[in-house]
Amino acid sequence: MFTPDALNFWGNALGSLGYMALPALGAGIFTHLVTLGSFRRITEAHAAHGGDIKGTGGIGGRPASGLILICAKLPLTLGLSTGLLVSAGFTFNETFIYWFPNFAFAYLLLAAVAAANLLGRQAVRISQAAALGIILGGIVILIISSVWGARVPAADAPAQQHLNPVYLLCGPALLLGFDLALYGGWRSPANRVPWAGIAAALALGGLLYLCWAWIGLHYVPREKLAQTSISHIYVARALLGHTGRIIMGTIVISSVFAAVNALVFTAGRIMVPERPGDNRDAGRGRRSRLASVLLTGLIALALAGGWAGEELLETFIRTALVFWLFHYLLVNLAAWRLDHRQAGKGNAALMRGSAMAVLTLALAGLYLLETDPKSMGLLMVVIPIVAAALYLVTAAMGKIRR
Amino acid sequence: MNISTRPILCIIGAMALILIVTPAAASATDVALMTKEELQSRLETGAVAILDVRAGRDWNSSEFKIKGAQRVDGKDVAAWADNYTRGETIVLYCA
Repeated sequence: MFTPDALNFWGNALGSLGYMALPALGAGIFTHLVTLGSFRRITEAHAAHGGDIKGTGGIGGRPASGLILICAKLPLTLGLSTGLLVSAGFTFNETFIYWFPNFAFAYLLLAAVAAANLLGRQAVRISQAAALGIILGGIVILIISSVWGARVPAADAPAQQHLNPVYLLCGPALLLGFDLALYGGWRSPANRVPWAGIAAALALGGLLYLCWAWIGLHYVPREKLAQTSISHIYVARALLGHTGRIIMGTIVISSVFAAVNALVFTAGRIMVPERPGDNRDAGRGRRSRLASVLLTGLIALALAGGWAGEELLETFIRTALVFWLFHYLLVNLAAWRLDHRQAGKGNAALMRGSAMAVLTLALAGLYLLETDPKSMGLLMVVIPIVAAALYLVTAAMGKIRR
Repeated sequence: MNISTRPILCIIGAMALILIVTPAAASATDVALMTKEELQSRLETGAVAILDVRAGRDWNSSEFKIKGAQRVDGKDVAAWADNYTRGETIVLYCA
């Protein structure tokens, strides 16, 4: 949620629209809270049969819903992880140790993710908690420091070419990824999905973004916020100078670790379907760990292949975001169908309908923000084809084992 | 999987990543580098043109850009080569 990509996206939106960007944040929080409720609705309705996939299977069939899940999670795991690791490498090199190669640090961070995933679910959870604690602490320190800092004069509108009302549509892209917490391997009553905790985290995330908006608009000129690719660093530097850079650098590295760790762990679990009669505590866990390590290997290859220097990577990431939000749309649709069939669920159905409308606008917004829409269109065809092949292979392997 | 195999897999995974990193690092040391002091002295005399050929994340993620550098596409030399005369010193820098 507080990756450098998300923070910079928010900074660009604020620079472009000023306080007019806040409704987008509100729409995003509303949408994700409703979507979380939809996840809960269909998971509890189909708890014995794989919750999410079974629930959304009523829309277009179980294979289609499985395919959407792969399209939603796997491309972003590969593409965004590659990009974020490079960002973390640059941050470490330019903020902490100038002589340490940035790509070497990116590989070290990836190795840490691989190690945590190899050690299993508990190691992933503990490392996630540590990373999130660092992120939260760092952002709180920056927010508190803004009370005493020297602010810039009232933010004027940026130049015409940086005004972009499309940012109003893209609120859901900010807090995307909350559903990764749902794949944490919760099974026993003692480990039930912490629905309330995830909702609280979403609300807290929204509050922090709200504070960041106030800080950004009072400490950095809008023109700079709108056009830079590192708005979060500019804000931190304006707040506390070099100390601010160090704090933001720590936040960036921790958030990248947390994001990649969660993406790799979740994708590893999704790639390994449950088998009836499987010993869940050993069989699936072992295969998931190996799948996660395989993914880190693919990410390492992407880094070595120089993906980070290709503009196509950004298009790939944005296309993957579209699929992720489309998965949210599907989940809300599935829950809407359940509510629609039951008397007394009118308000819930209305809220889900509103969330679906916002998500649809967000999909449109992401497409309109894309600088290479033709490549995006091509990827939107290629990714499902590759995902379908992967789905067929894993399904066939599951049948062979039986 | 019993507990004793986990550390082994961690070590194997770390070694695999190191094996991937080492060739990349080694190849980087084969390229001749200009020190920042030498570049600084050339910039002061105005005897060099700095071209920033970083693309994608290599550009977006970096906080530092060399003052006076022109950003160009390193893969499309024809687009900017005519802007410079034969004999002019051009320094291209990347990630």
